Amino acid sequence: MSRVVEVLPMLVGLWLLLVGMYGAATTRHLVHLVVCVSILHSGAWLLLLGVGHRPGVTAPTLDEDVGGRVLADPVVQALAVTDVVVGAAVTALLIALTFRVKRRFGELDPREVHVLRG
Amino acid sequence: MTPPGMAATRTGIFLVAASVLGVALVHGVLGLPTDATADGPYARTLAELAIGQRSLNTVSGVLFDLRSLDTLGEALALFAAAAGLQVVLSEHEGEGRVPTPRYARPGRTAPPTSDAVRTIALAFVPFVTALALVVTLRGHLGVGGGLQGGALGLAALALVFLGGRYQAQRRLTPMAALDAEETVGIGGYVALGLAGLAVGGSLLANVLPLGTPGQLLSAGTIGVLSLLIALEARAALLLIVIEAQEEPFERELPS
Repeated sequence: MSRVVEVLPMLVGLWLLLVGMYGAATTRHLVHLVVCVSILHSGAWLLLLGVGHRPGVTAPTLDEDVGGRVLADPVVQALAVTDVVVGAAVTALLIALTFRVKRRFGELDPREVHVLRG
Repeated sequence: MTPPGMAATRTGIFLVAASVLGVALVHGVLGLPTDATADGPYARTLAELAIGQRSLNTVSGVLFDLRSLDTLGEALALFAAAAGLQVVLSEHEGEGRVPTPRYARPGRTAPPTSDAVRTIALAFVPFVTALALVVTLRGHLGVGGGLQGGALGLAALALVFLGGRYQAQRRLTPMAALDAEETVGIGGYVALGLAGLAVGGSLLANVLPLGTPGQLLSAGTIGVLSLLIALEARAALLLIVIEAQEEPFERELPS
């Protein structure tokens, strides 16, 4: 497999990271901000996929015949498992904070909410 | 309202910082070792570690032994998110209530759940519950683990909700039971970790008998920690879901 194909998922992941940060920095709506953080987070997933995948690897379990199989890196997979669950919890918490801002200030534009103005 | 000039300045500062960060990250990615193939010495070390741990699933071996402290941190993050959601969504005095919430306006009646969705969703509940148990208990035997099992446990109750049985879903998950489940999950994890410190000399050391690989009762603490994490993940995610279910976007004025 060529170097480009190997590195491409990671470069796309970095692009998602930067695009998500750009969205978070210039956002005009708090729900949009939550989506931007999710996109930024997806970049981390792609980075993990890019680091963890090697040509020809299989699931890193030893329950079947191991002969000749090449195991994928379990550390990256463990990080991905952690990431999925924590990501869901963080998104839920951010949406809850958005609810609170709307209820408290009646406004979802961070430029209009004085405590959030940058 | 931020003046437009300030917004442009802010975007400019961001673009400068982001391009520096972007160049550094791309440089880092291109510099990653290309020969880190999965059968190198690193992979062999991990496989030997898994055999030493008697855990056939090397991912569980990493999650619940090699990096079990990290998993405790993740469980605490879930715990904090569930608790934080309850604090954040609690109602304060004098907060925006509207005379007619959107859901109560005329013509806003939800269509009933179709029979097909109801039947299929409820028919899948026992199978998803069984799958959740299998995935949880197989954490150290094959593909599976506590976090995935906990998420599947949530999925079983989501199917009850999807089948139009909100009341049943709430009866199956009383808040007191979920709180107790979280306590058992996190508390058990910490207690087992301290037991490792007392007996094995390091926090979360694998102090239980390792047994024969492939048996249900094997791999020492890995299987137990996996089960405890399943309880914690299921309870925390359910608390988050229930808190969201109870939250109307707009509240009626008190009559």
